[in-house]
Amino acid sequence: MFGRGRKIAPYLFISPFFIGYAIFFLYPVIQSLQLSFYRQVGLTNPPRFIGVDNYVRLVTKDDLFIKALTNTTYYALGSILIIVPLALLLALILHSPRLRFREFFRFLYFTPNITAGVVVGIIFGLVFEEQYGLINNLLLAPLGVDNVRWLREARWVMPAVILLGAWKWTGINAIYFMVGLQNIPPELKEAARVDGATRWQVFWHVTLPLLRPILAFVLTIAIIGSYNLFAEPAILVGLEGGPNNAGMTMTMYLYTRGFRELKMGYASAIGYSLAVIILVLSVIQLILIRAFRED
Amino acid sequence: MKKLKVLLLLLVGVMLFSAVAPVAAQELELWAFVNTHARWFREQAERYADEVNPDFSLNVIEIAYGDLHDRLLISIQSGGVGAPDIADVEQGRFGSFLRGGGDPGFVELNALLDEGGHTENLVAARQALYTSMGSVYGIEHALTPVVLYYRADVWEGAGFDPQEFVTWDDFADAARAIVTENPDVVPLPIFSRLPVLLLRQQGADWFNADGEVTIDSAESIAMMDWLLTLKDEGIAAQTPAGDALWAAFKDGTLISMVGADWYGGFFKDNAPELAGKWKAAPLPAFEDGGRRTSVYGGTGATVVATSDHVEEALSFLEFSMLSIEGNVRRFEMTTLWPPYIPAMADERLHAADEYFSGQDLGALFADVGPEAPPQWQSAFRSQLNSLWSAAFQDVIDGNRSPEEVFTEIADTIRDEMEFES
Repeated sequence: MFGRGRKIAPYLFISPFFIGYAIFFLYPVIQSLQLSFYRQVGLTNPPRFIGVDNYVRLVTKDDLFIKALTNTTYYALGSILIIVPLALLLALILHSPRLRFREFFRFLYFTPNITAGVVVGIIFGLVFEEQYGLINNLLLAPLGVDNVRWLREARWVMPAVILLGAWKWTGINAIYFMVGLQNIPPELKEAARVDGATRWQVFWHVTLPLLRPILAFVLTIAIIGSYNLFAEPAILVGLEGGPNNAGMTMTMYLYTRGFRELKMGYASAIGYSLAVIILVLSVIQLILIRAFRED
Repeated sequence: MKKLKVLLLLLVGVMLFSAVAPVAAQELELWAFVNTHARWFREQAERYADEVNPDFSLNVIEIAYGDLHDRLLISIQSGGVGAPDIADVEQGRFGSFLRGGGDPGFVELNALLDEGGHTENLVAARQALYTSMGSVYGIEHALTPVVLYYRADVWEGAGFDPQEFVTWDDFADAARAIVTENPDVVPLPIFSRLPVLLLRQQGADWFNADGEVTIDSAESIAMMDWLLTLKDEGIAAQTPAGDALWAAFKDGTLISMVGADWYGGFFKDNAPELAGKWKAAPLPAFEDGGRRTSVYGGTGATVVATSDHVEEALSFLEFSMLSIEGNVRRFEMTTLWPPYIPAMADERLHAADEYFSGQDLGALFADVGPEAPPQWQSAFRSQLNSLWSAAFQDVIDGNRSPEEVFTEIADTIRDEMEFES
């Protein structure tokens, strides 16, 4: 009796998580995979099996899906090429022992991250407004730059969203990098300096390689976060992505098809395509980072 | 010890019961997406509790436009989880509930309307928006007659009286003169729905009575082309988005607005400081003797089929939306012109409106109301609106022609209709 109880007890203790996981995650995941092979339109219509038609239509006939994919990739590239390096730079500055009020600045750079996406969207809507907005009036006008139609001209929408992303995500990524920097033993840098390495050489050959695990983590999070981007552009330019759907991301596209046009089967297919894209990109990215490895 | 426990349990039981017992009262939930409607519903609920059912209470929840409809669709689809008892559904989104041709998840109102003798008291063209295959699912809040709102101080100050404009040419001539004096003002603000409501003034629409898409018709293309020529002339310009719209009204950039009855309430809520500066006139016609109004927007109150209080909800809607008193109060509170014919004659609709320079707005709506054109519902209207919203900027900026864009939208919708049939 005692022996059996001992065998079961640990499983009972960890079961709440798995029960919750099965009900709220595993079941919807399987159900939506099944649904992605069905056509279901409207509130009460029964789903009808159509094989891979949804996927075929997505890739061959749906320009808006391709557009959403392109837009999201645009943001992901901006996120990786602008936000991540910026975060690293910020981390190096904040890590400097000569900086005063370091804790204060860390706190300051972290606060955007805990602000709700919807609030950020609303505020940045005012910031980017072309006639009355802050950027045009306070930053660009003094420089003699004409009003930029941030949210009205298709080509400016994604740059605006990336700027918003930089404001929101640079701080938290900088904190990840700072943790990595703190874990690098100072002796290694000292040794390099004794050997005559310049500051840049120390950074490039010592600091950066040792930050690789953190870099891999930050990049993976950035890619997943980019492909899941929703609230900020949805509030900034509306769920249809504003002019020419320039701000429509994959998740916005999924949401509007599924919950606005009630095409649940089609939306499930979009969801699975998104999952596959994120998986493939993350794997490629991890391979790339490992490929740079010298040891 | 055991006795004490039993006693304690009993005591707790009695306390719990006494706390729960009075909740025999009925609380219903209502979702609205504009505060004008929400205010009116709250007042009507109090009146209903006073006069009909003292146990009745209504929890009016305001949810943003897009969210309300999205959440309602999801709630209904999941069998009523979290759904309200009563919901305002905007006509442009009502079609989404009909998508796929199934049951929209609302209580059919035919019995209430027919047996109560209300059907002939409601303007049929408005009710058509919430009707599918003979079943009525919503009661319209407003006739939505479209008029020309204008800054009386600016237009009259420049020597023009918009009340005397007969055609759009008269309007354009005066606008040209005003813009020559002051190039910063915008006599005709263009928003994405302006072409379709002016099209309705001409008796056409983006869908026809048979539900076919007609956004690519010759009249529709010509309408957008005409607005673009006015823009090129400098007398029309695109409205700013979001809150900047009200900033542009307040700083005097926008000096008129083509808007429905509900726009009056929007002005009062969003630009209270402009009180006494505005007036409204019939829309200029496209030709002499032509129609002087259009329809724009509109919202139907619906009862959600999964509600546990359907009878009470219907009774409340009959009390508020199908009564002279309710309709008159709604006009007084929100400037929504009643779609309920018996209320139209009530003299309280003709009070001087301080915001609109003491004007009798009711007289204007009553004057143009009978001419209000019909508007046709389609399960695809919401999607068409989305496509147009995305393309609008390219058209207004002159990057793409109305013909090209309208043809593309029509083809997409036709393809969707075929895919779903």
